[in-house]
Amino acid sequence: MPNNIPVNQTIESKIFLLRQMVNMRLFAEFKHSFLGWAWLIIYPLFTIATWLFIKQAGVINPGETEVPYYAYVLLGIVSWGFFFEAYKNCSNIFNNYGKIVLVNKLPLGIIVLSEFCVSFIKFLIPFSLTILFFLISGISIHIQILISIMPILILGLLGTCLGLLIGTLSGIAKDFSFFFDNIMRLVMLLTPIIYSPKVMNGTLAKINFYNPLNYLINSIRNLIFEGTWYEFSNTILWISLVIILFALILRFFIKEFPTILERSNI
Amino acid sequence: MIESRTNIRNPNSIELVNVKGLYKKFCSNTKYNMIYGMQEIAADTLSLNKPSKTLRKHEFWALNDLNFSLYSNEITALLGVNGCGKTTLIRMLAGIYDTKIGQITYNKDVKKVCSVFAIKSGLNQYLTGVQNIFLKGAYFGMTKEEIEEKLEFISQLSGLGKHLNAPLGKYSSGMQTRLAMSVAMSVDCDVLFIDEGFSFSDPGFKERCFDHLRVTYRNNHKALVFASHHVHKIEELASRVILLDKGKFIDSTYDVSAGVEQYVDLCR
Repeated sequence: MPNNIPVNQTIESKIFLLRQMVNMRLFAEFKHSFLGWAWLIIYPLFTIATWLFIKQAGVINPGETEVPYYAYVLLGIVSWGFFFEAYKNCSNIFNNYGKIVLVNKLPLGIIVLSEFCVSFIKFLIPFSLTILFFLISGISIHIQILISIMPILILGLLGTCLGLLIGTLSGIAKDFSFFFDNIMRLVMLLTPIIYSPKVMNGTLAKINFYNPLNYLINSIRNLIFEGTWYEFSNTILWISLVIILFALILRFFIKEFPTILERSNI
Repeated sequence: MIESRTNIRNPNSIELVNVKGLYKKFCSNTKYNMIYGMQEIAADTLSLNKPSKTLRKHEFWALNDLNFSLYSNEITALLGVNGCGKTTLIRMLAGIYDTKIGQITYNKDVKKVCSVFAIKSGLNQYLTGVQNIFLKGAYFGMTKEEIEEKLEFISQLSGLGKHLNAPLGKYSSGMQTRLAMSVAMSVDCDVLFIDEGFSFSDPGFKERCFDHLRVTYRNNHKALVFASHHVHKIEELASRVILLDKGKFIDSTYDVSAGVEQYVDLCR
């Protein structure tokens, strides 16, 4: 028979908890800094400056792209950054929150949501700066940028669900995070982030045919620069699959969290 | 002031929590722990997991067939030597650990359960005392309005006053404990669990805490359960003692002095 241990959180207290957690994750580390949260803006400016420098130096030839290469890469890197931040934050939930959850019965859905929100806010700042930079540089932005929020959110959901899965399994054995953190570096190189999908052939093309990041990141770029989806039917298929996968993995995470908590050495 | 206590349960008290046939097993070997964990997750995912009372290699019972009830208006001291299962039991009662074998049933009138373990856990060194009050309060399930209402109480109880606007990193360890404990004391819950939370040395703060706990949990149809090794604190605060040894229920008595004596004997 199920236990009937009371739930300590109301809707209001959950919303307040979410705000507290997001604030803490975003701003607490900057309290001990002269510039404070301005670092959230300075970091992406560094990235833009780096790629501008590479553009000036002309050291990389990635293949044919419809927009200036540095713009293409910047948007790819910012999008990948959202996916990877969501993955990293969620795969570290046990490290970041394990001790707190061992002493307070926190709603796990709120923890996941707070990590997603933190990743999204950390994405929105460089994304907005990048778009602003494009406009200043004279690169035209398509009105379909408003639609691009859909593949953007799905990209974050994909990072979240992969992070939750790896985080849950590595709560039992660290091998999973050691292995998949390295795999993520490989995935970044395989995904057309710093090169155009037009240069893909052979094995790389086959791998990327099954790589959802390929469809999501290219769709974000295409919607913003050209107003079109990248391989529409495949992208929509992956969007549907990611939503289903997220629902299944979130359920798995919430169900297995107490088991992992008991077995982890937190 | 220590209240006069009787050796029998108050007939007006009602059952708030019922624990029936409660078991919990752990594994003492890291490798086997990982193997069993993976097996458990796989079985859970395939809905094949049937809780078993058989111990596998390197497993041991942290809790072994516990049956007891907790009643309103009681302050219960959970006693036992280190490793007897006090923390595991409190974590299960608070819903932090899953109950796979046995049952924990709360009275339907119990709306909120709180637990205090590593009291300073969750505090942030960069945030001020006040900001940490809001953070810790949120962890305890309080809303912003509830915390604002309790700010004065927390300030008074902790005795931190003007220090509350300083970053927590500048607090001494004792001050941090006082702050965190005061937030825990301010939570309006029906059943409160405290695991080794009375290790503070400030006698004034201890008195204020104990007075608050007595007033709140010896009345109002609430219950407090605490685990401690401090014999004097147990005698000062508890109205009932539950004794555990190696995960098993040994005794429950309203004669606190006798219970403490039994505990001291167990320690020898």
